[in-house]
Amino acid sequence: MTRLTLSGVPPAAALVAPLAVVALLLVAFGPALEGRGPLGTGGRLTVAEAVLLRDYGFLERHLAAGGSLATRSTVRAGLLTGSELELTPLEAAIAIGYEELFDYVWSRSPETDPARLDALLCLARRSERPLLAARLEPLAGDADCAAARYPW
Amino acid sequence: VITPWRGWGLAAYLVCSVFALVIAWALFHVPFQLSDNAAQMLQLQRTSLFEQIAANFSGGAGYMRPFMWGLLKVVFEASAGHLFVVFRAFQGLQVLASVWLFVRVLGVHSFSTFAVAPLGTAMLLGFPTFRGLVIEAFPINTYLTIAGCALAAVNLTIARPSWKVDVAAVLLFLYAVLTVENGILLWPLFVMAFVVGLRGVSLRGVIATTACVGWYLAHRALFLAAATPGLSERPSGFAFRLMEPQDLVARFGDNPLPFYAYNIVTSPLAVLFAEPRRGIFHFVGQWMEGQFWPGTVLTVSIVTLTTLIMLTAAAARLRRWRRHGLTRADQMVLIFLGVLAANAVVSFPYQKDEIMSVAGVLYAIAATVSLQAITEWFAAAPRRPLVSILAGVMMLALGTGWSLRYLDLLYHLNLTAVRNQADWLFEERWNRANRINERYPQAPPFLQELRREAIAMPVPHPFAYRAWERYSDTR
Repeated sequence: MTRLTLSGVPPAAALVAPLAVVALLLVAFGPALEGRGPLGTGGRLTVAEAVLLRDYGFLERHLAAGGSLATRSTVRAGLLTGSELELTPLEAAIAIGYEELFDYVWSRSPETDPARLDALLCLARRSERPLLAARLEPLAGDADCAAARYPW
Repeated sequence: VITPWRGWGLAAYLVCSVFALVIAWALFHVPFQLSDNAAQMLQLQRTSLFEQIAANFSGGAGYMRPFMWGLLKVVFEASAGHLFVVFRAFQGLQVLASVWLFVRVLGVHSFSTFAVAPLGTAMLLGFPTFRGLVIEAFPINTYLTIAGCALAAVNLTIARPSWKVDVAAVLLFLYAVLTVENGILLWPLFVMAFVVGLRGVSLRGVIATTACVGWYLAHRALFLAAATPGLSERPSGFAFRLMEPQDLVARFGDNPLPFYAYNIVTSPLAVLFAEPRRGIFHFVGQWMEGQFWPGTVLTVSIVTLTTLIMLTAAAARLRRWRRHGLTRADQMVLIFLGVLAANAVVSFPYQKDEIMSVAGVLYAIAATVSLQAITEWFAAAPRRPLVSILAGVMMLALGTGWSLRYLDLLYHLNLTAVRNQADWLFEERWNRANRINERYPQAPPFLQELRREAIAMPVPHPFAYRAWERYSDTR
């Protein structure tokens, strides 16, 4: 038997954080990797968030499960702006600006409503996405962007 | 009250295994990567084991990596169609075996030696040069195989001397060097171990491996047309940016020696200070611009602090070296420095974290054994309270820093999973660009199945941990 002295402090200190990590992994990491739990900010992605994060796998699984890329969904504060938003996948694709992503969403859920097309074109112009605007211009009418309302 | 307990060794294996098992588990959530990986598997499908090995010995494959292809082929055939599960299980086992070999070197026998083992394991797995060994696989990560070989080699050097150990050393060396070129680093490892007094591998064994080096180099010179990679093969970092092959050729095509010298001089810094990474001085660049990325600062700080502690402790033992010979910590530090120098030399054509991974593994061993020496020094006799407290603060900082580095590896595994999955969505584009269907007529149904499996995998986006992003080393 040895008496515990301050000499035990260095090894004990070396052990603290790694053991805490082991405990964390055993208790929390599993649920966190599934999109919930104390490591995360809570909840699974919405469709609009998946578009903003270019999570194609999520979108494919969403479609395979019978989901749509036409509906509006919530984007949590801090992801695009400081406040919570409601975006369609196409609006989210314009926000992030990648042509490949826009084409992906469009090919699976093209917009046909003239008013919505005008709104998307105005959004692309305002967001300075000329290549995306060029895709929408032949489809949209002579959009009057002065009166347009933008989602962010 | 701490009592001498023979179970500390077992406790170290158990606790440290958790670190490896979590990575193995996370690997099952990472879809196969598309580029390289799919083409490798298509290649495996249409050639026999014998053809693969023969082509690698004759130079027909462009490289001399028969055991890399041999292992791939064996695991491929053993999978019986369950490619993802079997290859990921194999990679997970490699990580677990690496941790066990690492813990074995630590020789845990008391609380003070046990206490550092989890920190050391976090260091081994969280070390910057280790990340690529798990986030990539083709579908086996060859550099992870070599890291395991290096850990096995260290175990041989501290084993009880016998002819069997010598034979094992020679076979291990041949296996490593014929898996990938980095395997040659086992030779300086054996030489350095012998020089510093570790006799597990005897002089006879060292001479035999030296003869194997001679044969290997002669065989390469005779059968391989391109003995070393050229500047035009891949991008590489230089100073503050990544240079594309055409830029490298334009700048160093006439005289590549300054570029090679840059790589040899700076690649050890990547291990000792985590800067540069792949030849690029990110941290220094951020410093000059006054815009620090917390993840970069954390990594550079923790690696630099560990290096300073390891080297300062070694310097403090200098007087003892002369009087009483080398301790195990001294030996491991010297082996690490020798292999680091050799690793820098083989990095001359271009810089990549994975190439320095053997030095990275030996760094983790040297640093952990050095920390064990420090905790044992405190355990040997009562020390001044202030010194004990200061050492405790230092250990706490190291333990915290390396634990965060380890967690960052898990974050990167998650990021990789999302990226790999997205790549499969655009598989047709990759297929066309690389003329895969023309080169491999059997490709369409095979790739279709891999694509279906990859996309169906539920991969949560690391958005869930977005608060972590700033503390991640994104270099």
